[in-house]
Amino acid sequence: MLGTVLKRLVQGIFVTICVIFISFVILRMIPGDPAKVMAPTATPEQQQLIRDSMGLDKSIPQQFKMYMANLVKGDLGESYFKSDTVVNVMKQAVPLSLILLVSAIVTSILLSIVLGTVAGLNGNSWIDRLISSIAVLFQSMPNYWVSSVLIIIFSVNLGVLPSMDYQGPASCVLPTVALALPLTAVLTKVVRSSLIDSYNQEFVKVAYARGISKVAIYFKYALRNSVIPFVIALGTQLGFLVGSIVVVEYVFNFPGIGYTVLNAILRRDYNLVQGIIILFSVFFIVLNIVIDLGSIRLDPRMRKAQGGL
Amino acid sequence: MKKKNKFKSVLQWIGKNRLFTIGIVIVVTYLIVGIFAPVIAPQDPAKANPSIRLLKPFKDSEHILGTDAIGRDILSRLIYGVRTSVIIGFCSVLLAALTGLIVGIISGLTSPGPIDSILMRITDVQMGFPFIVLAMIALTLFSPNEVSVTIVLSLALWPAYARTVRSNVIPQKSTDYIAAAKLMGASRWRISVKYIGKNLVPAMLPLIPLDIAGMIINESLLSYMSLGINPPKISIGNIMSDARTYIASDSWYIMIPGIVLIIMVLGLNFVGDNLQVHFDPKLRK
Repeated sequence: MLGTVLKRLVQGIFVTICVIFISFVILRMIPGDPAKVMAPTATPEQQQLIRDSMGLDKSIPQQFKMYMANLVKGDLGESYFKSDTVVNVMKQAVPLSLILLVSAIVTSILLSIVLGTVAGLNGNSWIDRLISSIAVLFQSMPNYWVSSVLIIIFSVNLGVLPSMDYQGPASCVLPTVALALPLTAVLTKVVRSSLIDSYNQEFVKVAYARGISKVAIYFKYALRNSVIPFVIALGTQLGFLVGSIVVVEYVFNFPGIGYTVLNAILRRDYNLVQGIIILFSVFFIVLNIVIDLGSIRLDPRMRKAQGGL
Repeated sequence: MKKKNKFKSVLQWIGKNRLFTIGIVIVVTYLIVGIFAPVIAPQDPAKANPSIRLLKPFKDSEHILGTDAIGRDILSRLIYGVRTSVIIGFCSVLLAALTGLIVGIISGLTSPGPIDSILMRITDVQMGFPFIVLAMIALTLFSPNEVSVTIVLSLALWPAYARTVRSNVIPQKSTDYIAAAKLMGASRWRISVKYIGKNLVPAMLPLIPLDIAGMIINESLLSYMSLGINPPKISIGNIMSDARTYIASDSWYIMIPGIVLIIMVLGLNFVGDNLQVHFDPKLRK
């Protein structure tokens, strides 16, 4: 087990460094001069001064060396536009996005277990078909359109929830719903199909024969069997969720990490974009390692394939 | 007599695979609309008529789905938007599937070895980049148009295909039929195409419609954020982006393109889901 963890960690660090280097080079190839964007009315000499102070006059390998040296110290440089350090800007934006992410995940987990159970226990009945069709429908809807519909219903027509900018906790409700709907749809399908699968298995039939109560069979045998596919589906969906968060934050003008990165790219705020890319890719890489190791840990068959744990 | 039976059995098959049939009908309809957009569109999608701005849908027989903020016919614009979606969706998935197929087969056949390791690390790096950020950077770097959007989308998708193919190739290598083919002196090329390639169909085919659906959504998303197909070119995403301004006063305007998009995506998902069930006996019940 330790060997596998170490191997995956070393691979993860290698991949992160590659991502940092590639994005570093690509970002500096984007046409547009940050000095000109920052101070459009300045004289060429003043703009040159700005470039010098940001280290943009040096060659790309030299800039990269400086950047990595600072990164090791936990310094991601200054944001050119927010007159603050990148770490501070991210510290303000990340919690807001995390609120959305966590509340969307919790809502989806609870809802999907309930809906998936109702559908799965009544396989092929009208209620199962209803739940499954709604799930497919929500899976097919683009996030930004769902967000727009939510704005039309709850902000424009009912006027009960704010739709733009961050104005306290109420502003989190609509973005959370927009993120949670497709996630719930996917997870409900997973719970439903693995429950149906479990109830067709020999060990559940034997449990019935042994006279174990229905409730105990549901929790101890059927639902337990859904844990692995559920966790794996949740892990893969988390990746999509981080992508969706950028879009949903854009629609709602919600000042989280996605909104920040979009604006940073448009303003050529290299250091900020770079910092957020590092944050995102570390998140993705850690997530992938956790999914892999988790599925090895949870599933005895995978354990064997990996040469034991 | 015989013909009648055949017709009956076709009907029976359709009855058993209702969702698949509905999906195919939707997909084929959208394909036809996309390919023949210039013939089908009732009006010139670029012709503005300021005297009939923001005409509501189903009010005027000339403009069934209404008009936009400068009086252009929304139905015609949507038909051209479908054309963009269809072209970019199909091309990007085709490109990604082909790249993934080639990389996956090479990787699987040489595994374990240095070529396999290098190729898999490349897919790791690619997957370490969140798609949306990759797309944003790439599309500020290259001017966004049909070609660059297609390339960016397939760039994000190919590692998934490479992984799927590789994980299907590796267990096949130790099977008896490959050993027999090797014994008979079949070349590596022949083995890859005729034996291993053929067995990849069940794993790859269902992914294709599902991914086309995903890429169509991603394209519309990029265009919605002004990072994809930008005006004067037409995409469902930028029609919705236009509509965003009128979300409070004319809510119907943003609803219509969304519904057109969702029906297309639903059709593709029906096809993909049913193919998956068809090829996976475990799901068949």
